[in-house]
Amino acid sequence: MVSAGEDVSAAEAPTIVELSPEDAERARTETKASSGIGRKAEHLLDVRGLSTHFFTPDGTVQAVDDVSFTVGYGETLGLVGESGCGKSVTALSVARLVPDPPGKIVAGSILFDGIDILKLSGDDMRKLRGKEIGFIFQDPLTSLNPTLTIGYQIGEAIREHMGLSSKAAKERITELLAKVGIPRPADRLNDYPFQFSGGMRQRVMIAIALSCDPKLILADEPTTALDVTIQAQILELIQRLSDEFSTAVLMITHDLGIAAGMCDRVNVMYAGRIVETATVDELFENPQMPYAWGLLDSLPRIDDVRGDRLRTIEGLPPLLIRPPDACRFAPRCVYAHDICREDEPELKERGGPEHVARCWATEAEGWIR
Amino acid sequence: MTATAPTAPAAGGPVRREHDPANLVEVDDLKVHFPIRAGIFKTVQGTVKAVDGVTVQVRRGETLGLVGESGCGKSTIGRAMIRLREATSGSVSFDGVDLHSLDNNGLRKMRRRMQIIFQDPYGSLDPRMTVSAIISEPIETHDLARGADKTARVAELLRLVGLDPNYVRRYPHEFSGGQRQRIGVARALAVEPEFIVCDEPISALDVSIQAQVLNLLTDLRTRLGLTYLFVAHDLSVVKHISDRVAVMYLGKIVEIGPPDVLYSMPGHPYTRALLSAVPVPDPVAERRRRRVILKGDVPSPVNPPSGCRFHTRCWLYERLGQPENCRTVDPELTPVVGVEDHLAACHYWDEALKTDVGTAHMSEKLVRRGTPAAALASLAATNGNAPAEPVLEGPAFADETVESEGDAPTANDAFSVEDPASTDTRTDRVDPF
Repeated sequence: MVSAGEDVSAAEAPTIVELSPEDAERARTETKASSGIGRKAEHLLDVRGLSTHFFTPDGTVQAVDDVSFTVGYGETLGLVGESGCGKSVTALSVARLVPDPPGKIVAGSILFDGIDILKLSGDDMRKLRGKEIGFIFQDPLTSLNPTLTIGYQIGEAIREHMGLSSKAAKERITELLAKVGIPRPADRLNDYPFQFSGGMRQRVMIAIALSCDPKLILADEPTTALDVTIQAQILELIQRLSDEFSTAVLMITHDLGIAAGMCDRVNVMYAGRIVETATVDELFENPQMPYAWGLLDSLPRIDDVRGDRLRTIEGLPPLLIRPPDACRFAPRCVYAHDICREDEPELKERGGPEHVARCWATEAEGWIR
Repeated sequence: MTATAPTAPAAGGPVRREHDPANLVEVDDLKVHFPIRAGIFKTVQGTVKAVDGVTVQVRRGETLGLVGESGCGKSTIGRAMIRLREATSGSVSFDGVDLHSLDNNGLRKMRRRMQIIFQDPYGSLDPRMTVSAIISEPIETHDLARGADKTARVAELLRLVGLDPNYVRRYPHEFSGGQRQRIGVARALAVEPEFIVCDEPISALDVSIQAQVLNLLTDLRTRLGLTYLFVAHDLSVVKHISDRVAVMYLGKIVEIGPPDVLYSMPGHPYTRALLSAVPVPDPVAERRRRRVILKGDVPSPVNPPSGCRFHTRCWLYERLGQPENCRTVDPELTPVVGVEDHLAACHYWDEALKTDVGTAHMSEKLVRRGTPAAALASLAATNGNAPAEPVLEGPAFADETVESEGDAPTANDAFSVEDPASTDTRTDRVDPF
C-alpha cells in the first residue's frame, strides 16, 4: 500500500517523528492530499496506547484507556459502542480537541501520516486541523455558527489553509456546495444556517470538512439527528465523496447497521477500551466477544417475529472513575468465570491478525469456542 | 382491570357514538392544524397542517405502530388520541365516547383510562420531585389510594417496571436514561390505564437499554392486557412490537397493514423508500441493497403538494412517466389485493407491488447474527439446575417471574450498579473452571 513517496524511511521506522521543517512546510503549503501523494507512513493514522482522562471533582474519569488502532489510506474504520464508551473522546483526541481542563491526553502517541500530532505545537496543529483532517459532527445546528453565512463558514478553512484569492475561493465554495448536492449553490452562499433544513446543514458540514481535500474525515455520529431517508442521502454522499477523493473516514456510530454498510473494518469499544476489531464481514459473521453478541442481539430487526423477547444485556456499563482491573464487561456478562473478574484479557488474535478480541472465554484455551 | 374501569362519565353530556366494540380508539377524518401568526397584529399567515384527514382505529388489545419521518404528524395524532391536542375537525372517540364532547371533569375521568409515555426521559420527569411524588401524583389526582395503600401501590409499580422500591426517595437525576424511562412507565401505569400512547419511548436510549425497555413494554402488554399506540421513527422497532403498522407522510396515513405484509410487499412507494433506507446490521445485505435515494426534503406541511403529497419525491411517479392523476387526485387508502387489513394510498399500488424496491436485499431470509450457538450451549450446560434466566427462555415469560418481586428479570439494570450482590447471584450460576 505504501507508495514510493518522498520519504520512505518514515514508513520503515514509524517511530515518533518530530515535525521536521519540511513537514511543517508541507502542512502549510500542500493542498492535494488525495491518494498517493504524501504517504509517509504505513498507515494514515496510527494510534498507540492512547489514554485520555478527565480530571473531575469526583475523580479521574478514564474515558479512553490504552486504545490502539490504525486507519489505512482511504479506509473507512468504524468505531462503535454505546454512549460513554469513549468513541467520541477518541475522535476528539485525534483532533486534539479534548476540552482541557478537565480533559487531558495522558499517554500514547497519535501518528497522522507519520507525524506525531501530540508533539505538534498549537500553531502547527491548527495547520493540520481542517486542512488534512476534516470533521463532521452529529448536530449540524449547533456546530455551525448561526450568525455567519454558510459561504463564509465554508470559506474559512479555504482562506486559512489554501491561500486562494477571494474570487477563486468563492468559486471553490460554489463547487463544493454543488458537490454535496445543494441546489442553486451560487445563490445560497449568503444564506444563514437557519435557512437550511437539517439534512442540508449536514451537507454544508460535509462541504466544510472536504473544503481543503483532507486525508482523513472524523465523522462523529454524522446522521444521528437525521431522518432515515435523509440519513441514506448523507451516508451515500460520504461514501461517494470518500471514494472519489480517497479520503479515509473514521466513522463513529452507535448504529451497527451504519457500520455494516459503510465500514471496511470495525472497532467495538466498551468502557474506554477497544474490545474487538475485525473486518466488517468477520465482525458480523463471527463476533468473538460477548458484548458484541449482546449488541447484535439487542437490535430489533426487520425480519423479527412480533412479540419475541429481545435478548438484552442486563445492567449498565461501569463507571470509569475506578474501572476494575479485570474484564470491564464481566459484571454484565453471563459467560464470565472467575478469571474474568480477576484479570483483564489482552486483545488477542482470532484466526488471523485482522481479527482481535478481548475475552477469556473465546480464546483458544477458553470455554466457548 | 378493563372490566372494572369506569365507563362513560356522567357529567358533561358526553356523546356516545355507534362503534365497533372491537375498537378502543376511533379516529375519524381527524385534522389538527396549527395557525402561524406573524406581524404586529398576529394575524394568521398560514396553517401548518400537521394532521390532515386521518381515519384510523386502534383495536382493543392491539399495538398499533405509527412510523414516519419527523414532522409527519405522528406525535400529533398520538396526542390527539388522548386529547392532549384539540382537533381542528374530525373526531376522536375512546370506547365509543367522543372525547371532544367531554367537559374538563369528564375528560379528567377519562384520562384515567388513557396515558402517555414520552420520548425524553430527561425532560418528562420533574427534577424537583422524588420518584415517589412523581408516581403518586396521578394516584392522588384520581384518588385511587391514600396513606399506606398509596405507598404500597408506588412500591408495587416500581417492582412492576423492574426498579427497586427502595429508590422511592431518590430524584430523577440519580437514575440512568433507561431507569428514568421505567419511572415514566410506572407513572403511566399508576392509574391502571387501558390505552397507552408510547411516543418514541426508546429513541433517546442506547441500544442495549432500548432492548430492555422494549421487553418491559412487551411484558406489561401481555400481563396487563394493554393497548398501545407505538409512535416511532425506527421501522425495525415498530415491526418488532406492533400488530399493525401505519406509515405516515405529511399528515396522512399512506399505508397500513400487518407488519409481515407491509414489510415484505409494501404497496406504497414511500414505504418502499423507507425500507430501502433503513440500515441493516448485516454487511451482506448492505452490499446487496440498492437505496432509493429520495430527492430533497419533505415538503412543508404549510403548503403540501397537490394531488398525492408524495409525488414530488416519488420514484414510482418518475418511473411511470409522471402520470397526471398523481398530481391532481389525492389517493384514498384502498385495499391492496391479497391481504386483509392491508391498505395503501397510492393510485399505482399494483405497479409498486411489481417491483422489488426496498425489499430486494431482504429477499433471502437474513441470518440473525449475534450470540453463537456454542455460547448458548455453554450457558445451557452451566445453568442446568440454576433458576431460569428469563432472557434466555425465549418467549416463555411467565407471570410468576415478574411477581417474584425483586427478582423481576428487568430489575437487574437497577441493581447491578447500586448493589453488587445481585451480580453475584447471577455469576453463582456459572461453574468455575
